Amino acid sequence: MTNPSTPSDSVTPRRAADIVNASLKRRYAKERRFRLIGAAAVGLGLTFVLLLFGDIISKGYTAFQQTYIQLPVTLSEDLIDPEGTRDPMTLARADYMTPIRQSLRQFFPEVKDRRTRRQLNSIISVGAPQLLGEEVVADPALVGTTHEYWILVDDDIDMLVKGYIDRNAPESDRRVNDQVIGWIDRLEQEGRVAKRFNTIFFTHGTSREPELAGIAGALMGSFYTLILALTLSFPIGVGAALYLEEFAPKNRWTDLIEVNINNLAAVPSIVFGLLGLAVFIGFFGVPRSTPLVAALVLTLMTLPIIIISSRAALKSVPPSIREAALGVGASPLQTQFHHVLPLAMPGMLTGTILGMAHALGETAPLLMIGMIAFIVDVPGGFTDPATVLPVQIFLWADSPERGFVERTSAAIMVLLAFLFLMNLAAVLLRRRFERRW
Amino acid sequence: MSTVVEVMEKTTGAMSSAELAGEQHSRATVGDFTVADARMACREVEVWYGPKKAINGVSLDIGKNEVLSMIGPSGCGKSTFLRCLNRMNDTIDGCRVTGSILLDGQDIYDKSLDPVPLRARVGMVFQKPNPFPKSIYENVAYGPKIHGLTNNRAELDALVESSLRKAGLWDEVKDRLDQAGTGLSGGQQQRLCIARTIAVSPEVILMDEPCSALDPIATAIVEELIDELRSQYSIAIVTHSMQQAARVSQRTAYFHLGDLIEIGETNDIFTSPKHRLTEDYITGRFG
Amino acid sequence: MTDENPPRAASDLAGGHTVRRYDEELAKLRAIILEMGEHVVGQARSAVMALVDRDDSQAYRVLDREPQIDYLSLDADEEVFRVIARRQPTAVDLRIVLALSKIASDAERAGDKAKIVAEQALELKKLSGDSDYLRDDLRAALGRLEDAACSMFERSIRAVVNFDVALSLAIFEDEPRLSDASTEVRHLLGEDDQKGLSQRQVVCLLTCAHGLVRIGNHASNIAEQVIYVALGQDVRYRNREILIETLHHQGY
Repeated sequence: MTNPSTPSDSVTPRRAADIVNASLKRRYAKERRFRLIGAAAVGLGLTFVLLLFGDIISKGYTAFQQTYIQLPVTLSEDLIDPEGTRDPMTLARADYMTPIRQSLRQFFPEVKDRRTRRQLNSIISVGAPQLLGEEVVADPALVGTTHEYWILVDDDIDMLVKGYIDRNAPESDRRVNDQVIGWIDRLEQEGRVAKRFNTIFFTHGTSREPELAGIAGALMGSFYTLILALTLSFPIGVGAALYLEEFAPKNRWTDLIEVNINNLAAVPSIVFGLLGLAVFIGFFGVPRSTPLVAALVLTLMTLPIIIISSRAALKSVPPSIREAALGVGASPLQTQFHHVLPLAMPGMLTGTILGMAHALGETAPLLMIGMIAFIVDVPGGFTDPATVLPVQIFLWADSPERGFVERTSAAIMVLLAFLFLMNLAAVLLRRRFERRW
Repeated sequence: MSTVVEVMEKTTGAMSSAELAGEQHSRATVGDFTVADARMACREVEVWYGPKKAINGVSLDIGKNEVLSMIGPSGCGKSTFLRCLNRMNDTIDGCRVTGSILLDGQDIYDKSLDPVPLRARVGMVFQKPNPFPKSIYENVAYGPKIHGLTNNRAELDALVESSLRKAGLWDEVKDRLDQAGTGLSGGQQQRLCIARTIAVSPEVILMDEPCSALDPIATAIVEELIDELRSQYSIAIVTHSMQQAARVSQRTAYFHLGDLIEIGETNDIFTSPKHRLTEDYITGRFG
Repeated sequence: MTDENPPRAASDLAGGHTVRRYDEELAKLRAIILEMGEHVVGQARSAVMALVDRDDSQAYRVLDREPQIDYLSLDADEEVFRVIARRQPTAVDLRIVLALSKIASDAERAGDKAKIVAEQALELKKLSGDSDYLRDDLRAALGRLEDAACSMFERSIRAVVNFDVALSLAIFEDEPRLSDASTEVRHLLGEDDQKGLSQRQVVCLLTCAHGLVRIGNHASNIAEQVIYVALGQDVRYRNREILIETLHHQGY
């Protein structure tokens, strides 16, 4: 069969092998270079992530601790509850500042004049009496007794104890003068200053005073907003995806819709905020600055993401499953709901979780609909004024007090933790329900 | 067959009847496409994908208790034609079917006829085994459930068992009905799909290259099963394996570029086909 | 019938496969059969020559060459097995393989008949020595019989080359000539005076005549197989006149 061919149209196997060997080294070098570049890219990315995390954590970890001073406070019945009813209302409204100040003055009997006394009083946080009151309301037996209490200190003192205030700086440049530093040092020597876990951060809303500011309000705001956004966007998104992918005729109109959905996914989020302001607040009169309106805006914003990922999930369900269901006489709707949707659900949920994570981190559109308002109360429902975590971070980052710097970073850490959990859930869902056909 | 004279008369007779029925531009079918007791009767079926004509005036009958095999080169329209028989083509955009397809005398493309129950009457087995990613039991029980064929769990159990038995799968899976159907071997999966199809008591079973993904032993088992099923159902099978068509079918139809070129007894088609194209195809002379 | 369905040209009945090796295998099988056929014709002619010329050496040569045909028939069988096992022939290919297998067996048996004639020639030579025992009319009748049988066989082998229906038809039409010649020989040998032949000589001559007729019959069988290949119709055991009529009607 084989004729001896002319040398021009074929190389002898021996020579071919030599040529291949000669080029091998070059090819391997190329491959090594490519791998190296890839590894370097990943390494660079990781470095920046580590830098970001390191910066945030190093700045923020101290916010999880708060400085208290231990004072023996005498809660005389005359002052707290003169009528002796132990009525919680009375107990909560009583003046606790006075006994705290009295207790503090006992440690520094040399303080006499009004100016110095005011300085001494400023060690105590303005929120300390309220915290003490809460303790008394919880345990009315405390009235009329003397107890050692951990009293919250002002944020400047907190910063001093945490070492953020440079003692060597000139006194006029410091927010804490030498005298106060001296008092704190004395209290520290007596073992009356301690850093305790900062529960206020997780149980209180925001405040003008850093030591009283917490993320509970923002967290609840985010929670209500996301729950509502999820219940709105998931059914709408999946429904739209199902209709477009499985039922809609393929024509110019559906093409146009598809292009628009893809476009919407790329629209800057601030535009959704403007839309929400004009339509939901301006036209429908939805109360501003509430989780309701935030959820509506975020629903608009995440819908394209959910629709696109749901359509991808539906596309990945093999047509053979649809044919099988139709082949035994299932109606198109039964085919979708019995077979296609269950198979596409992990993909849809993954997309939805990613969309929700996106929504959780979104700030810009919410600024437009009043979520930037200063709201101290923790919201209790969808129509209570609220703010959300990223907006809270934005607000704190804007505040000049040193105490808010660490709280900003701490809030970012909490936000990152939630984002991490949501993304982890998405990955696990995908891993768990990934099917092979 | 007795004499050449008789054969000649039969051939010319069939030709003239086909010519009478056919349009001018569709190629006349060689052989008699009618059977005495037809389950399905297709006349002048044309299928269009948009402006493209995929099937060109095909007429043929599927008899009761027979296996009709459809062979032909790729793109000859045999699968397209098969999918017309249970309106599976409805799911494809821009697909248009003209002509008439009667199932027990009723036009399945009639406006008043719902394709959903039709697909229970004309079941389909596909090229790639496609069990639902559910348990073996659920796979077989799904059809009867959605059609409400059984009244209680016991009846359903019995139906699942009898379907699996008919598909020759019962003994292999009876101890693991709750396991995933996708965990079975390829041949078992295909028999599970056949069990799923016969669980809704169809009259006709369409098979689209049911063995193309199976090894020879699994293929032989499925072929044996097809032969057994013939006693209760009408079966139309599209296959790329001419040997398979020769083995399992009673009648064979040869398609070429959307035309039904020749149809006849499988024995005749594989020993002395009348049409040059049929002969060239089955003897491996073009491809 | 439509334009796409012309009858296949006789010459490429066995060719044109996508797999070219298949063509080659079928061609090889056919070549073996043709070689056998040629041998058989030569054997028959030599055997009759040995008979009428009382030529011992010619008869011995026939006996010597007979195994060649047997070997070729073994080759043919092997090739048939191989093609069936490897190619699973269908339709025209299946008919070709089956027909060639039967043709091989017919040719082999025709070769046996030639050998029998040669053996009888030796026997007659032994019985009658150098005396010219054949009278002219008997010799002429035997010549006609030999001519009919050999020409039929030769044409049947030629018909196999292209699966030629017309040639096969001519063989069928020649059958009366064969049977007439055979009847004439038997008639002459059956006359009372025995033409001066001993009974044993008559038996030998009858055996020869019978062998020649059988060669003609084998030719007919081969022609039937050629028709089977070309037209897909098994025409054995049919009424010959109707068959001939039908084939004429079809334009052959």
